[in-house]
Order: sequence, then C-alpha cells, then structure tokens
Amino acid sequence: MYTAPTLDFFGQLNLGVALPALAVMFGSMIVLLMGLFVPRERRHSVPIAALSLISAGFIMTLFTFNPPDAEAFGGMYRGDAFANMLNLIVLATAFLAILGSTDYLRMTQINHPEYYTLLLLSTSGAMIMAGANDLLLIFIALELLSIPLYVLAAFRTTDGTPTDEVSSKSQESGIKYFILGAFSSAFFVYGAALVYGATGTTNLNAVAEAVQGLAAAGDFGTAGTLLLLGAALILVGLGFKVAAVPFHMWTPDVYEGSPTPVTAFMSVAAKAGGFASLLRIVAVGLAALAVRPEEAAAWQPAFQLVAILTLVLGNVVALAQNNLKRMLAYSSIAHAGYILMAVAAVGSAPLVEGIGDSAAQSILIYLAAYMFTNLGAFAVVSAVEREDGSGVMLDDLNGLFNTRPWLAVAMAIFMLSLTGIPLTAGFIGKYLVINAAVQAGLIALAVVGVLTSVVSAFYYMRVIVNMFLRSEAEGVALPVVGQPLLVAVYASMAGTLVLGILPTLLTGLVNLVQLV
Amino acid sequence: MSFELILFLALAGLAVLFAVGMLLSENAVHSALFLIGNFGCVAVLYLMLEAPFIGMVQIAVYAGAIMVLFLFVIMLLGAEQTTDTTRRFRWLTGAATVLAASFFSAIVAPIVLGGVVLPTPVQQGAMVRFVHAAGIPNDQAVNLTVSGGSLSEPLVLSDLNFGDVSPFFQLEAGTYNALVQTVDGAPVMPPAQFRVEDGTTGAASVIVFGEFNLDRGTFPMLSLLPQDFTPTAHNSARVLIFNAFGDPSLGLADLGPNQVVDTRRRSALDENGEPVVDDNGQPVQITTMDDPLLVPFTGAFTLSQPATVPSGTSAYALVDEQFNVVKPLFDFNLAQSNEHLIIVAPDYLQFGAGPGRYRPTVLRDPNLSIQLSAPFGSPASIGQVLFTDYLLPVNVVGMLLLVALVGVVVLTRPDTEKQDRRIVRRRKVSRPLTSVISTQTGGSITDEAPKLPQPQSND
Amino acid sequence: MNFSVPTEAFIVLSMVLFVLGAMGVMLRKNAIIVFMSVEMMLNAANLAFVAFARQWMHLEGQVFVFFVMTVAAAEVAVGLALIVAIFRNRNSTNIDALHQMEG
Repeated sequence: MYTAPTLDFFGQLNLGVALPALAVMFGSMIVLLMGLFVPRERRHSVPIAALSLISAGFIMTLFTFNPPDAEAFGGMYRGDAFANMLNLIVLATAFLAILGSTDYLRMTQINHPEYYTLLLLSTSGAMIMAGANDLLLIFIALELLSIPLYVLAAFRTTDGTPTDEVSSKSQESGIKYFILGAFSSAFFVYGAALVYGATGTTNLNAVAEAVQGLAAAGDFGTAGTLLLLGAALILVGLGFKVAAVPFHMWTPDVYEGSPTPVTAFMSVAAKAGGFASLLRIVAVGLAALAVRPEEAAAWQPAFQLVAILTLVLGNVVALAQNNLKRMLAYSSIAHAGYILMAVAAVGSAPLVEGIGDSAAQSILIYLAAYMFTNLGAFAVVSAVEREDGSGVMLDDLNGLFNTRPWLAVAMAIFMLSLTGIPLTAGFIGKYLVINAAVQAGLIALAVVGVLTSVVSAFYYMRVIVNMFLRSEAEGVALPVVGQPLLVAVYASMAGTLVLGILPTLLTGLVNLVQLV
Repeated sequence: MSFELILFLALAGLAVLFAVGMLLSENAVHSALFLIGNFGCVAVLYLMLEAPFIGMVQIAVYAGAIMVLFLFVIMLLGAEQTTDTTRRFRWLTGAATVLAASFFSAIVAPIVLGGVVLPTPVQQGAMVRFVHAAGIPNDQAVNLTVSGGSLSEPLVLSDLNFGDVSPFFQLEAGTYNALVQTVDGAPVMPPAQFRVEDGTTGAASVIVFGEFNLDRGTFPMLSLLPQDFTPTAHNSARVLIFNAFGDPSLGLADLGPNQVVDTRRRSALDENGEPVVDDNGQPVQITTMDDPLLVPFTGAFTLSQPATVPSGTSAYALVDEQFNVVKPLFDFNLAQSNEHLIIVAPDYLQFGAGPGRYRPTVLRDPNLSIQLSAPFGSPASIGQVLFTDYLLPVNVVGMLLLVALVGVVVLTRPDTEKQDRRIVRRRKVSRPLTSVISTQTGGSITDEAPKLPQPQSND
Repeated sequence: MNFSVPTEAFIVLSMVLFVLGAMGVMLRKNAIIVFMSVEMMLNAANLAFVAFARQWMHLEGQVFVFFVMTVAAAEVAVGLALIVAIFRNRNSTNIDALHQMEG
C-alpha cells in the first residue's frame, strides 16, 4: 500500500553517514569550476585541489567509520563499516592515480583539467555504490562510476605520432568499453526488474525479508525462479564491470588503449565498486535463496563456475602476453576470480554461521592489497612508457635494475605481491580469500585458486627476470620520472610491504565490518 | 476477448515488428524510425499499465530527445548506408540464436505452460489513530493505553484533551484492548476492545471513544472508523460524518450565499406520485430541500458513506431530519484532495453548580483531514515520491548528467592545443634553407623534426 | 486482482524485445545500430518494471523507469560523442574496423 509521505522524512535523512560520498561528489564541481577559470600557468592547482578534496573525504570517512545508525535516506544508503572501508580504498586509489597522472598528462599533451573532475566523479560513484542498499541506487551509482571512465578511456585525443596511432587506440578502447558497458547495464536493469517483480521492492533489506519468507514457506515457485533469474542477470551486469569470464572480452583492449593512469584507476575502482555492490546484493539480499531450507544458496554453483573460469582463463592467457599492459589486464581478470571465490562463499550462509561477514572482510583486505599493488605496478608502467605509447612491452623492461634501480625493486615487490608471496600484501589477501572459500566448504574452488596462483608465478617472475637478469637495449633513453609519480610508486611499495608484514593495522578496522 | 486484450496484442505485434525492422534494416535512418515506432507502441502500453506520466516521458525523452539525437548524429556523419549486410561469422549468428532461444524458453516456458502465479501484494494491518471525542465532566485530560494484538509493549497516549487527535500508528491485524484513565489513573470507562482488520490499500482508521451518559443510554465506547487514501477527483474533497452525539440523525447541507438552509414545505408523495393523505384527508406536508444534502443523514453512532463534494471554503451546516440547523459551520474549509472526517461529539458543558449538559460540537482539529494520495501513476504521485524517498538518487542522477555534459565537451571539442603546437612547430623552423633540406633528406629523427605546413583539416 | 491483460503477457513481450536487442548488439557491425539495440534492451527492461509496478500497485517500479530513462539519455550523449570523435578520424562507423589491438 502506498501512502503520501510526510515532510517528516527530512528529519530522518541522516546525512552524516553519507557525507564522505556526497562531499566528494559535490566537491568535484568546485574542481570543475577551477579547471575552467584557472589560467594556464596555474593549471597545476587543479590536481592539488583534487588531492585535497580526496584527503578531506578520507578524514571524513575515518571520523564516522562505524556509526551506530548507518541507515540514511530512508534505507537507500548504508554508511556502515563496509561502505566506509571501501570508501577508504577507493579514495586511496584516486589519490595515487592522480599522483601518477599529472606528469603523464603533460607528457602526452592531454593536460585538460576536466580529467580530474571526471576522475573525482567516478570515485564518488564508486563510493556511493559501496554504501548503496537499493538496486536503484546501485544502478545509478554504477553509471556514475562507469560513464566518466568511458570518457577517460578515450581521453587521448592527441599524440606525438604521425599516424595518430595512440589516440585511435584510445578512442577504440573508449568505444569498446562503452558499448559493452551499456550492454551490461541493460542486463543489470532487467535483472533488477525481475527481482522487483518477485519481491515487490528494490531495497535489499526488504528483498532479504521476502526471500526468507519464501525459504520459510518452502515454496520456491515462481517468485523463486524470478529471483534466481534476476540474480543471474545482475551477475552478468556486474560481471562485466569486474571483468569476470565470460564477460571479460573488453578488458585487454581497454586496458591497453587507455591512458595508463586511467587504467590504473579503472582496474581497482571499478572492481571495488562492482564487487561491493555484488557482495551486498548476494550477502544481504539473496543469501537465503535456497531451493530447500538449510541448503546452500541456489545461485552458488553458477558463481563457482564463473569464479573457476575466471581464475583459469585469466592466469593461463596471461602467460602468452608480451605487452605489459595486456599482461596486467589478464592478471586483473585473474584477481577478479579470487574475489569471486569469496563472493561464491557467501552462498553457504544458510549452512555456515557468519560466512557472509568473514567473506566481506576478506574481500576488503584483498581489495586493499590489490589497490596498493596494482596502482604501484601501473605507476611503474607509466614511468617507463614513452609519449608515443611504446616502451610497455615486456622486453622493454630488460635491465631496468641497471638504469632505474628503485623502480625495478618496487616493481619486483609488486610482482611478488600479485603472485601472493608471503611478506607482501597479496599473500594476506589471497590467504584470507582462500580461507573464506574453505570455510564455506568450497574445497574444489580453493584448490583451483591455489593452483592458478602457482601458474601465475610464471608470468610475474618473467617480469622480475627481465628487470634484474637481462641487460637493457642500446641507445634507448627512458623518460624522466616526475616527483609525484615517484611518490606514488614509493607509497604503493610502502603500502604493499606494510600490509604484508603488519596486517593488523588494517584488520582492526576491517573486523568492524558487519554486512548482514 | 476484451478490447484491452485486442489492443495489447495489436500493440505487442507492432512493437515486435518494429524491433525486427530496426534490426534488419540496411539504412540507419530507417532503423531509427523503426525504433521510434517501437517506442511509441511501448508508450501506449504504458498508458494501458496505469503509468500515464511514464508514458508521456517515454515519448518526450526517449522518442523525442534520444532518437532525435541519434538522427542528428546519423545525418552529421552521413552514415545512412550501413555496409554490414553480409554476415560476419555464421557460427556467431547461430550461437546468438541458440542463446536467445534458450534464454527465451527458460523464462517464457514456465510462464506460459506452468500456470504461473505471480506474487501479489500482501495486505497488512492498518494505520490507526485515536481521537478524544468524549465529553467528560470536569473536562479533564485522559490517558489512553492500547495493548494486545501485535504490540510488544502497550501504547500509551497521555494527556489527551477533548478534541485531540493522535498521530497515526501502524497496527497489525488483531484484537486490541483500550483503557481510558484520568491522569491520576482512575478509569473513565470500562476497558473496551476493538478489532483491526487487514486494511485495504491505504486504509486508516480512527477510533473515537465516547463516554456513556446515564441519561442518554449507553453507546459504543470505541468505534473504529475506516478511512481511505484512495484519490478523489480534481478540485474535490471527500467528507465523512461520524455522529457521536446521538439521537438526531445529522446530514451536511450547504448553506449557500444567504447562509440559511433553503427549505420548503410541500406535499408528500407516495410511490405512485399521488399525494399522501392523512387520517383527516389532509395532504401531509413535509419539509424538503431543493439541493440534495451533501452528506446524507447519518444515524446515531454510525459513520456515513464517503461523499465527494467540491472543495473550497464555504458555509455548511449540520441539519437534523426536519432540516433544522443543529450546528452551523461557517468558514469551513474543505481542502481539495483531502478526506475530511467530521466528528460530531458531545461536549460537556457545565454552567455554575447545576448539572451540565451535552452540546454537539464539531471537532476542528486539522489533523482530522488526511491528505489523499495522488492517483496511481500520475505526475503528482511520482513527484511526491521523488523528492522524499528518492532524494539521493535524484541528486546522483544530476551529477551523472553533469558528467555527460563534461564528457561530450571533452570528446568532441576541436583540439586547439594541437593546432597551437603545429603553429609553434612551424615558427621554430626559421633556420636557413640549407639545413632544412639536409634534415629532410635523412639523418636522425628528433622530436623537433620540422614538418611542412599542413592544411588545417580540424575545424 | 484480475487485470484484463495479465502481467505475464507484458513480461513475455519485454523478454522478446530484450532478446531482439541483445541479438542486435551481437550481430550488427554498425556502431550506431548497436547502440540503438542497447537502447531497445533498456526499453524492454523499463516495460518489465512498469508491468510489475502495476502488479504490485507500487510506484517504485515507475520511479525506477524514470531514472533509467535519465541515465539512458546521459549514456546516449556520451556514446554518440565517442562515435562522432571516432568517425572524424576514420570516416567509417564500422566497429569491425576497430581491431588495432590484437592479442
């Protein structure tokens, strides 16, 4: 039944918990205006403003990290510890990406201030996705996350080559990302329609109640079928965003063609936002969707299959790559597979107590580790990349230790972390994710995860071998690495090592996460 | 085969035909026009689905803005002739068809064959509020305690004075007990029970508690008066009368400009139209009103049928069956799209030391009129919801549109910096001719290689 | 509640349109036609939403449709800008010609 809402609603808005996301969203307008009116000599103030906005958002998030009353906007947004932890991850991603962008943009002559506005708006989209508790808000925030990325992927409109090769690659990646992204969000909307049809609501908490009502009645019936189909379509829609197989086709081309700092941001932020929403949908909304009570969720086998395919394909095809950016793209697909392992583990919620929360915590730590590692790796790539886009083949890294030793050491640490070697952040993340899968009883999945980790060592080690044991090519000058980029590389390296050696710094925060 | 079913089948068939035409057409403009036709069919389907606002927005935004933008771009690029009539890979077509068929059958088959029952809304409880309409001697405030039913702890409303209306409470269906006490705790009347049924769409109920009086006999202590949020026509209000006063049946009459009840006496007529004659042979005279009563006579302790009256501020009167004015209501505002509950309650008046008496009073609390919802699917209803429940999505969508604006400008603006750089490069080439020629004929390629001036192709 | 046209009929229609749109995206090569097919898919999802909104007598479905339309408009603007930018370079809207990156 619907009744006319009262104006009393405005007293219940609870803006405080949504403040970080909203502040970044509205603050980016100030950055936009700055970019318009600042004279060309002082254009460097725009990224500084962007960085300060991100820092402000970071501090605001820390202030209200685990509020007792997290529901805002009438149940649409939940600013709980999960959302705030993800806010921290996404804000750090944006910070490091902007640090890595300034010199890159100047070098490739695309130093437009709108870049920072689009990046900030995409960040705010990811932050809202993290806390969105309603399918409508998830969809809108998904679009707010993606559309700036479509534009940013095609940002290279000029280049130094006579044939416009790099800019046409950039445009091609932009349009591929765009078409497949629009395709996938149509799937998401249809899935949301089916969920709405089965339960009469799009609020995830209300969906959870309806699902429990179904499970208690033991009558799977039409509503259950519709829900299951809706869940499948939502998985398709969000699966595109996080590059799960078989929705990964766009990833190598888009990662290769986009400007490198955009790729860095996209690889972490899109995954963070996409997985946050996917996790919330399955953990809060659909966790109890089982055919019979006290059974694992009906969607778990499908998720398991997707996770296995993603792990296998990502790791195996990466072995054959010669282009560093494409290799990192396939590695990104593989890492999406690891996170999908933990998402599939949530399906055992009717059987195992508390698996939803432990899976969520493991995913958050994995994302934090992945953020430091991947951003660092892409920062090193943009340090060696030349203006015309060359210099990113694996062979171009030969002898990097001789020419730029610190970059080589940092890259080595990032590669080790991506493999999952102990003492690096990647190991902690992988351990927790595999632990969650084992806790949920998905032993086969965990075994596949471990095996593919071993396989991945081959192509990560190849990078290290190239840097340390081969000698560099003759007469090729590496571009000068600017200060902000160096700061980004060192900060990522520090983050990777600190998270790997002293994980308790982060686990204290993450243990507050209570998703269900 | 009702008209709606035929209309639906026609529109559905047309929509599918347009869609197929869009897919198979070789001319991009034809495809766009087919898609506009498809959108138009879907817009009419929205009208059938009680979504008039969405239907009009579909035509204005989808067909009118988005497709026009498509057509502009097609014309700008001159891309009418599409060159992909040949199939790329046969297997891809086959795979796509198989995928489509399996998806389709996975959903349609259970629906069509299985006799599927889509879930329907479950009615839940009702919203209840409490009105103090009891004339109690000494005019004291009372406390009302409601317990039982689905309440985990008793609901206490304290310090209710005559004429107070409490806010709405959501109560599940069930039987509840109500206890009315003075502020000191002495019971005013014996405890009573009332029953809440599962409400219909948007039902709200008002419970009136009245006191019994030895002179007037007992009357119901608690009456549950169902109210309704269903929308009413434009510029009208809905009025209900609850007669808690007792004996004379009361109706609501419009007083008109001269502020009296226009009555006249005429002969009574029986069912054949013949004048009724009393025992002495004299025709019986009755008093009638020319204009019909706005709300027909409502007996003692009953709730009248809801009546729709034109809204506005006017003078009304409560009249008894002989059309005597029992209580005039001057400057009474009937707000439009509201449902007004007029409760005629016995107010206990005492003058001096003598016994008091009861006087009919109309409770004037503005909360007795409830705001009706706008009709389902109307712009007003969607507007009501958008700026309260959906405030955050509206704001985020606003930022999304800003992103689209910035993105379009960034992607399509002419590259003035590139032109500037070409000019700069040309200016740098001010060396003597011989060195220019020698650099042109070989040597190492540096970043500063002079280029011959190019015709400006980017405008 | 009994409607003269059952809700299932609308869902079947929206399914048909959705699948047609998906096939259009997969099979056509012209970027503009592909994009129009995506719009048709979104339209089909909107139809499902409005049908379910009437089934449940709840406005939430219609509000969702309102937002989807707005988002679709923003997407169309950005997408067509991308297509225009590419077309300026290549003089063709055939997305099969976009195969510079192989591997």
